[in-house]
Amino acid sequence: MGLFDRVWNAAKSMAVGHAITIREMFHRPVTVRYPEEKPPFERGSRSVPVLKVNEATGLLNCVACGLCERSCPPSCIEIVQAVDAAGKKKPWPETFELDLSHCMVCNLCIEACPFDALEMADVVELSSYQVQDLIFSKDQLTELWKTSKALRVAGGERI
Amino acid sequence: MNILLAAALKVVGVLVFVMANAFMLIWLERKVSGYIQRRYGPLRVGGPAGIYQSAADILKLLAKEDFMPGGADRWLWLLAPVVSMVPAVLVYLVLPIGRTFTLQDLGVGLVFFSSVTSFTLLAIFMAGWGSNNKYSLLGAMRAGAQLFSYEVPLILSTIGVVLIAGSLRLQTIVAAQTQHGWFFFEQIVGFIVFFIASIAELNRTPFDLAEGESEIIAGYHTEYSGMRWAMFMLAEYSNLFTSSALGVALFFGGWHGPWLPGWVWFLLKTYIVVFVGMWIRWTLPRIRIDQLLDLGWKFLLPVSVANILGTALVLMVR
Amino acid sequence: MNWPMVAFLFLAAMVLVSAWRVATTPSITHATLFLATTFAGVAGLFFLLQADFLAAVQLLIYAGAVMAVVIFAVMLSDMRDIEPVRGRGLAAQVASSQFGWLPLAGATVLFVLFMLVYVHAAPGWPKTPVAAAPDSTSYIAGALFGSYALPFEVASVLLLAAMIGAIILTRQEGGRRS
Repeated sequence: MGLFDRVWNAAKSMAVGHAITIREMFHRPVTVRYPEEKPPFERGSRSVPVLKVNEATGLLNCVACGLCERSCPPSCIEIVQAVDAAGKKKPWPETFELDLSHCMVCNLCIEACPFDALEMADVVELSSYQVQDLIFSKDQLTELWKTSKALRVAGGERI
Repeated sequence: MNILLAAALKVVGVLVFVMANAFMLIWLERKVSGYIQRRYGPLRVGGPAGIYQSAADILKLLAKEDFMPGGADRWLWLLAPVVSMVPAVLVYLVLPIGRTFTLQDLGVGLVFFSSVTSFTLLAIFMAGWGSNNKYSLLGAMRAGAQLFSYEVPLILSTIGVVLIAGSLRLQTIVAAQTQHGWFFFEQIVGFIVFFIASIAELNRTPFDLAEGESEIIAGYHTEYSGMRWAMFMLAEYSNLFTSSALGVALFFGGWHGPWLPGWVWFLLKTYIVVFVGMWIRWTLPRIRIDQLLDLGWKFLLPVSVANILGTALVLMVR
Repeated sequence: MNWPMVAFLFLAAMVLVSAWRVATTPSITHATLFLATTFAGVAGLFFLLQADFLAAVQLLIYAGAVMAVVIFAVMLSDMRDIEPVRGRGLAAQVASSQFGWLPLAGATVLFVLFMLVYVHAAPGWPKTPVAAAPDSTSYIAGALFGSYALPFEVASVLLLAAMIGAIILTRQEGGRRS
């Protein structure tokens, strides 16, 4: 390739490159300015397992069978089944604790649950300065589900 | 005493401008790079479009420890940032800012400009040698090879303009363009050589081998921190402004333009050239050292000499 | 005392001190930088004499280009050759040398002294300051390309010959280091 061809090629490719960069410059930035604007959750994204409430009865779907507890690899779920005064076991959890500091968000508890009692919330802002704050109780997990559901109704459907 | 007072006023004025200019250009560079990469650039620190980012940077640099590496060549290491500021400040002396406004309109303004900027090499060498660091020395060596190779085409590319204008005085060169038309149109070859060579002289991408981060950390200012490092940056951005200003004075009619006052035109054109420099910086990748030297000695030098010959021939025939 | 005098004294002191340090400093890097300071001081003196073209060219060629070449020579040299000579001041070096340099140095000093006296005493040299030219560039150009065109061209041919000679001397024979 001769000198003039090389100079011409260099000039042409530089012109193409600069045209691309100046065009990109006048496009809308793809950055999301996080605390002010929040990106929608992708389908199938996971953050924390939460407890679902039956809309008709207002009770938890959970029957305290303990399958999620056993399927959890890091053993972060701890369930105590409710008992009545006579000592008879009841089909709902007395306590349901989830230690998010151990939870690895593997989704196995949700897959193990036969009663559709758990699902992944669309809530990620859960950080805390105290590790104790990351142990979520039954009520907190229900609240999280409600928050997540409200956000989801506003933000769109999710599987 | 009057002459001293005037000189002091000029020096203070130039220093204030150097600071304000660096303040603006650092912010502009971030914004331009951000938008070219489809980001926003700085926003959080505050001010319109995050302009206080530069102020935050300066505060941070002021608060940093001034650390001298062990085994450093004490005086060279301490003086290098100061020496890098000297040419950066001195070149403002001859810039034709307005129709009647030049700090000191020397008869040899153009040669003065080139000669003062050649001092940058000494500062880089002092920093590279004084740091007692192999990356610094490598960076200084690269900078030396680069500045030395591109100084020649840089000066030769301006001679075409000097031939047409018939003077080395920058005000006369600008005044010649008000009648003759901007030299950019006749001296387009000279301008291209000038622009490439001045980017190389500024050590900016695609010619930033002297501080190529991925190869030699940060080149000659690897060991610097705090205000000493800030002085290198200050000099770099000041040089970016002044070399663009020289290009405007030589090829784009300096303060020449309708309606607005001269200095507004001058600043406007200069910042447009600065923007083009940033645009190039965020478009092109860094080139290799052998390509750099080939470009300088085997392409730009012959082209600029041919430009001088062609210009002289045309002037002789005309 | 007027300001040009102050500037002159400052620049003269700068030139003298840095020139002295060029000869006496043990490190070749420092010597290089002191040489640059000397050149810059001389350029300042030219500015003071209103020879602005000469001053700018002095800065460009000597403080810029020649210093770049010297810096290259320093940086491309073998590091072991340019280790600073520690603990050997000028007096020690004089004492340890074999005095073989004395005749040459003495002759140089005598010659320079003689030239200084001659310049001062010879007729035809203006001893009072003459008014500086308003635009020294065109005068220099007129002199170089007019009345002194032949010496100028001869000097450039000489420099060209020197350049070609340097290339031939440093060329590697057959593309291989001998």
